[in-house]
Amino acid sequence: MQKHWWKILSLALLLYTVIEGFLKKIPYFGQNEETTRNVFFHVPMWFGMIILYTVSFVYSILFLSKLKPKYDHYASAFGKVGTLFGLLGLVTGMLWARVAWGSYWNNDPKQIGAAISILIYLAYFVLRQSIKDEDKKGRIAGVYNVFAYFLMFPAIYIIPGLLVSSHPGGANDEPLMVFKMDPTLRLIFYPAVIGWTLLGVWIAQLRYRVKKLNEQDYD
Amino acid sequence: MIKKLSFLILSVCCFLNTSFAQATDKAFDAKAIDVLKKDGKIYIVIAVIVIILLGLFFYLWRIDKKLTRMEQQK
Repeated sequence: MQKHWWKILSLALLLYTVIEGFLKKIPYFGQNEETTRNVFFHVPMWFGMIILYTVSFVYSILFLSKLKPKYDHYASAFGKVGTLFGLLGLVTGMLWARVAWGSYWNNDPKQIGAAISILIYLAYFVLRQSIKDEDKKGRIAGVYNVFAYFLMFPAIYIIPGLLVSSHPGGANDEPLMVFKMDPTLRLIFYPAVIGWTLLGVWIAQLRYRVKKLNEQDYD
Repeated sequence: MIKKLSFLILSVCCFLNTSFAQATDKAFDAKAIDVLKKDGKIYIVIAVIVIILLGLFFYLWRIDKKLTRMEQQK
């Protein structure tokens, strides 16, 4: 049970998010009315994605310095779940955009940047698939992962921050919008981020364990 | 597997049976439904999402347990 407390914490935080996220009286921002509540569900996908990609990046660095296969498997597993979160963020964002901005795809700088970033990560998995030799795969994929990680920040943060955007944090907005988020929203938003991220960590861990079992079968 | 499945079916049958048997206890049920219907029935949506979350976590938990068992067999 001691090993599993964080899984229960994840469930508790997500239950809290759903119940409070729907019931609490919150201040609306802009013309968003009740869709302001998407902040508790759509935005944590992106925060979760960045955190999971960061873990993947750290494991790639570890692999490149220590060359233990374990690190490469972890990097791949966290990268995959990060991409899942990113895709969910993109799809939920498109649905919200249809209502808020009038169309599923508005060529908003942040939308384009997020799509580019996810495509870059998809190439990471194609690259992994294309190399048979495990050691070579780990090295090349590890280097590519470092590249993908550092491209993510200009793509989803720096460049959209220089352009006019309907998202918070564009050039027409004060920077670092999320840090001046209303305290009432923050009280639900941050637990939501932690809850979703822990769920992502759990799924990544399961993926890693399946991979390890598969490998033992071949030995 | 078959044992588990039959247990599941049996328990579902038992549950249905008791819920029909308790149809006389309508007052409590109606009260509970009234609570759910407040505030534009938003509580129903919350209950639905909570059930989905619980189901999802239960499923992940099962996979986790199964993997642990497989790891121990190695």
